[in-house]
Amino acid sequence: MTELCEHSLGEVSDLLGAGEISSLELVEANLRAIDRSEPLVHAYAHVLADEALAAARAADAEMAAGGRRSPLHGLPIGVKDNIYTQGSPSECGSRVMAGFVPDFDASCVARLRAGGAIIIGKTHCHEFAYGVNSPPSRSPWALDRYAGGSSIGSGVAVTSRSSFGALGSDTGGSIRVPASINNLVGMKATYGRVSIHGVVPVAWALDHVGPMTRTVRDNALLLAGMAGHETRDPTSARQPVPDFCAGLEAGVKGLRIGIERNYFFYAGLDAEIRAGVEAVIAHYQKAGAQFIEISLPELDMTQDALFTIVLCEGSSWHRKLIRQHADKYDPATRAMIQLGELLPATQYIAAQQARRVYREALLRAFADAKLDAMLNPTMPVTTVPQDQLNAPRADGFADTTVGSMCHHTFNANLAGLPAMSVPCGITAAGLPYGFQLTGRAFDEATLYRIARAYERDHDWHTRRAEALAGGF
Amino acid sequence: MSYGRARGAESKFDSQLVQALAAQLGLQIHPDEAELLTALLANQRAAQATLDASDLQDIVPDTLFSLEARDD
Repeated sequence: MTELCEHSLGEVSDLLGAGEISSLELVEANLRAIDRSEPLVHAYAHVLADEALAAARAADAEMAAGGRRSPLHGLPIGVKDNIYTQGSPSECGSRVMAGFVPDFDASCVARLRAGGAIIIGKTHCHEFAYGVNSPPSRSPWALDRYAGGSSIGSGVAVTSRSSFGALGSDTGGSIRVPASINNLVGMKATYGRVSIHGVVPVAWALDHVGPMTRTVRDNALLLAGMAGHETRDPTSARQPVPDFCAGLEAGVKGLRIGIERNYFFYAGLDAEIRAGVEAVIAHYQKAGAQFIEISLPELDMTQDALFTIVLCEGSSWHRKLIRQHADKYDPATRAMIQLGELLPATQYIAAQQARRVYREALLRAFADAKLDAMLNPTMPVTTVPQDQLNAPRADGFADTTVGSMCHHTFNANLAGLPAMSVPCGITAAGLPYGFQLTGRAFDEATLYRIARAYERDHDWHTRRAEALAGGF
Repeated sequence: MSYGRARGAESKFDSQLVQALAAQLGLQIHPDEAELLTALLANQRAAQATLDASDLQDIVPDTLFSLEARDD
């Protein structure tokens, strides 16, 4: 029998629903995978083995009595360490928060638990999902390279098969970037779709929480389990949560997809990724989608606007902590937080003005061209060894690798529109990459439909890193 | 994500002035980090210049609220 961990979240959900496996078997399989993989990949800040085993036994008993709460009932999930989990450490990857155990769940975690999901562990993240330090996590796709952040442990856990799915947070690309690097599906839903209550903020105006999974269906199931209105969260939307799986197999015939080439297909785009994403476009055209070229010069403001908002809002949240515990911060994080306090309020306001200008331009482009989605590479580059992140790019393009990594992702956080990364290739060097779909507000279902139409005809999502074949 | 990016912008700020300003705000600047902070501040001046190149003066800034709330 195939090791249970090799099945996708959706597959084990089906098996569990059919009574062919138990929740306890799933948790035990994940814990075995953790034992095998963690010495090499370090995905988890905290493994919650005892709690997960107890929850699995309770789930099995409840389901045996005929009560299955949701498709996630009995499924183990990883949670990024900046997301509060009641009674379990939530340390945000920082010495400042060492030993902190919240007495309530983040809203998204509470929803998952209400649906019967089980938290298998807390995954590593960059300090406060912000810092430029890097946690010890390593992707099995490239153990010597940066595994993407800030939801680094969540990406590594899912690709290492030690979790069927995981939660990440995304302020400028922190779900989509590690998803792309780890050959995963990562969704940053519409701003307000998933509550950020109980998630330590980076920047309130830009923060999102979302799922990271191996397949599109897995992602749709997990988003459905965590989305919904939260009265304690002023950013939370009252929109009903649809069945994101309902239209997954509807195909793309007749859909209109926008392409912006000046910014997203610029000279800094890696040649292999360019060719791979052009092949995605050709596939969709053959399947009946219509591509419309659009112009969005406002994209040029997005990096400066987002970065400024992050600096200022982030520093606001850390205002007391940075004075009480400055020595506990990583030096690079400390510098960014202190920098935010040195910026004038006028610069923050200019960034918010730019954000509005960009958002309205994007919404106008969607309306004028009657777009269902936009498509571009998730990242213009693949990942590099850790010590080359801040060095000039090896291909001679005038930027650092880390500067290029989020070039394509910041804009969706500014606009608040849903955006997801979908696996679409592996370079000759063995490094995965993905394409990004951006959609209309609260229309994640169409993005899943488009993504599934590609996934159905390709096998990227089934590829395994060579390191996995070597023993875990 | 990792926000540490470098533009290679030449610092036009005096790191001692930056340290003095930070001290006025009650921030403890580690002596060997003052240069980094000064360079980062210069980067942000470059960011402001980019935004200034756009005509934003009469734009009412965006809010923190959800798309749904803003579209009401």
